[in-house]
Amino acid sequence: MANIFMAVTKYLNILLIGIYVIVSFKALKKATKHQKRKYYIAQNTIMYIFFILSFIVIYLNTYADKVIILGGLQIIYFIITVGLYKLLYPKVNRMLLNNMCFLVSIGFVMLTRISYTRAVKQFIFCVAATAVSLVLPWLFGRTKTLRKFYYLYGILGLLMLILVFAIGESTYGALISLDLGFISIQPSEFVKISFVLFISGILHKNKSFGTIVISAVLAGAHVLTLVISTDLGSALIYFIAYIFIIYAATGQARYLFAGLLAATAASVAAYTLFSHVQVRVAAWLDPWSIIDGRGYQITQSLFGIGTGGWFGMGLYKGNPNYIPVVEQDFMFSAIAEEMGGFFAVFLVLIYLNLFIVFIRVAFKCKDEFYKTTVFGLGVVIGFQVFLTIGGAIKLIPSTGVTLPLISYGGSSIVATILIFSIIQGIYINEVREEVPNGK
Amino acid sequence: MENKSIMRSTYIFAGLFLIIILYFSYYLIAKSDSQMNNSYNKLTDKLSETTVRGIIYSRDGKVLAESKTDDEGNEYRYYPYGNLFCHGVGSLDYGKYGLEALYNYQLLSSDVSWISKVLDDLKGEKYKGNNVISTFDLELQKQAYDAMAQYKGAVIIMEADTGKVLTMMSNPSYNPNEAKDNWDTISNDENSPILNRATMGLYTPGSIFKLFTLEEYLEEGNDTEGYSFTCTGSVNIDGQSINCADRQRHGTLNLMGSFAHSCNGSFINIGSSLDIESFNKLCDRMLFNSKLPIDFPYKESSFSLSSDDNEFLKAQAYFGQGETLVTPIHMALISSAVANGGVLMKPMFVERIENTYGSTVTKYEPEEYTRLFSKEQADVLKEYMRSVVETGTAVRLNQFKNLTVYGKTGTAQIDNGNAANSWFIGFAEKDEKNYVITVVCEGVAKNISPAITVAGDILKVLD
Ligand SMILES: [Zn+2]
Repeated sequence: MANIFMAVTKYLNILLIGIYVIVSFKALKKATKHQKRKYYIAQNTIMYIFFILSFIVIYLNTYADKVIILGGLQIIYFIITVGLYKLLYPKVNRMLLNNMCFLVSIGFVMLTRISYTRAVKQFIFCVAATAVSLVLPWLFGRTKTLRKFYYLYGILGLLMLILVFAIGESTYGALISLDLGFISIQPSEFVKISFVLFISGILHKNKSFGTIVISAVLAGAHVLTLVISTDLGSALIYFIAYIFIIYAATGQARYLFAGLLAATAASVAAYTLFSHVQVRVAAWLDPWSIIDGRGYQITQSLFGIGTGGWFGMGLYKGNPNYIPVVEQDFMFSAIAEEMGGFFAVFLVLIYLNLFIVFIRVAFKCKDEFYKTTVFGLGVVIGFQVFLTIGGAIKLIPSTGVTLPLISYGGSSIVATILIFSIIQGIYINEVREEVPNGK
Repeated sequence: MENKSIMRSTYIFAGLFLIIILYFSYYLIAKSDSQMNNSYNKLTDKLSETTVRGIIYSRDGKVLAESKTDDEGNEYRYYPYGNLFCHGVGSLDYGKYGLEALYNYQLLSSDVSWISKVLDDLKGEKYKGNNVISTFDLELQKQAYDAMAQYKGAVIIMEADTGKVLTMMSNPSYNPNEAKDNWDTISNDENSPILNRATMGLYTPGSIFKLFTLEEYLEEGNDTEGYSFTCTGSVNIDGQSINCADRQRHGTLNLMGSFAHSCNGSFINIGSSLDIESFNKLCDRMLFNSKLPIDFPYKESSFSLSSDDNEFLKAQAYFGQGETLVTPIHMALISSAVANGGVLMKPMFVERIENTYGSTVTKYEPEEYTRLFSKEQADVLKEYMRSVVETGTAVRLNQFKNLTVYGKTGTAQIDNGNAANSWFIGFAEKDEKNYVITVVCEGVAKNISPAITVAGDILKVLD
């Protein structure tokens, strides 16, 4: 009986996320308030069914009561988060909120299956970040001075990154975290935000060539510091975010091309200069010949995806832990392995949906500074998704960045929730939605 | 901010997401299957929890390995022919060299429609794994096994034009059905029954190596018509004498006669005229010191000769003694290329993979690996190999009604000349189809040539 339930759940979950994707894309179209509310309710309902079914499967495989307790607390967390946002901010962007919750719920399920203790830690960070994120939009409404301190963001952020390089802890060969004694944080996750605020701020003043040069120097310093700290994933994200913001702000394609050209040149330079870049490229080009060494992680990821196939092996029927550092860098593969290729494709579509929601908010901002900020943060999240999934499926070399809202990592989840709440804050305070009147 | 460039950026990112989905789908549809069968894929073991391992068949549909369930409901693997296929088909838990290991993932995958998988799920039943239809021929394998009963060694039979391996046997063998209970005995046996001598056994080639010396002599453009050598039964090299087999005096021989009668003295004479650097190149081209196109674990054959080596060592090398070592599979590949007009086909061990209902999942097609000889070179070698059977050392094989046999024999001295490895390499032609046969019997008394007898016994089946 339990076996049949687990098997059915595997297919049901694929069906559920499929419906979720359809609903989410329908909800992007013009609709009446009434219709939209129906979509939102559908999204939340799907999330709860998916979450409860999955946790029953987890329980059936572990028979651990603590799993029920954790699952229960997480449901309460979702109910309170959605409820409080609606209560405190009647204008809340539901698409943003619902997508965030659904992605977090997928992360909880997969993380609990991979490691209970990590899931608990992740949950605590999530609750703390969400609490802060509930206040942020209100703070946003009170302050207009955020943009004035852009040089501060740029310089403080850069100093943080330099600090990591100077005294940081090495994780898997990359200098990315600062050990504060009681907690270890990854500043590059947070500096993403100050970085975007800085660029938005400096461009807000004027878009002269001189300003762009100054911004390029500071942005370049950020990227360079990340490269020498061997945090290549973050370096790429900062770089791409920068050139897209400049392109969108000036409307001049030559900046985009110049940026991409520079990126290519920089990649070639990085490849010739740094052995750790060569190692990653080698592991990407032909991991099979070095399967014992640097190719091990990516081939294990491909084994997970390929063995899982379109329908997945089923929760607990695979073993995502065969992939080293799966909970941080390869959550996508873990999901594909056990929940299936279809599920994984739908997941990509949810991220796409989310990206479009970000851009929609940016479009509707009247204020230049906010508009640039939202766009920039959207690019940060969107490119991060591309890097991590692309790396997991061997489309591009693996750069070791997290899957937003799903991967394990305190700094990552907190920073991502903060980004969501900043966009939410801008939306709530700045955007006047024109809604066609329903019946 | 320019709305137009925001829109364009959005398209670019939507494009990136689309590329991810397309590449991911392409990977799952077209690429992943061929990569999953890898000993590093530990998930394969997990598959056995959800899938009943498929059946391995011979080419004519006899079950060679199947999964059964004992009274307590535990699955186990059953091999109806016991020892017969222990190296080719292998065994599941031990001696992981056979098809069981190479096609582990395919046997544990179930390529049925997803509807029937869902139905299995709903019924609470395991999926039924794919079946592997091998190229092994039961009758030939049995015959080889019986013919080799008294000898340690290996036999390989393959089709030259397709590369299909019909027989691969190695003696001594073990019974995979009893492997679980007797593994310690089997694995500690000093005769190493686990070792697949057909691919892993490195043997001194002896006179079969004259094929390469001959080919080098021909390729260097030497005089073939006018060649003549008078054999007195032994030659003296740096004060050491080298004899012909059984101290036979061959008398005056031309080039073909030297090859057919396997005259050592004549081949030392031929060898001494060769360009050693070029000879090394030829052997490298002939897949010595190099990878072979087979998925089974194997050893690389080795040959090296330097002009600085002493004359005695060089002389020995020309007729396959000394430091040269070869595997039976390597020799099989060389004769198959000769039989196939110079083209070496990649050896095939599996014809196709079927799902449990018998529809084909993967069909393997014969595949050209490389050209070892030009058509003309292959035809010339064929003529020389025919002379061995017509008038030379393998006349015993000139007895078949429907088969024309080509080959080369060898008696390689080992153990300081106290024992020998007996070789036969060659092929039998029947209705324009060439069956490549390679036999090695190791450690036999040096005055008998059992490999020729064994080859004859096996070829009877094809006659
Ligand atoms: Zn002689």
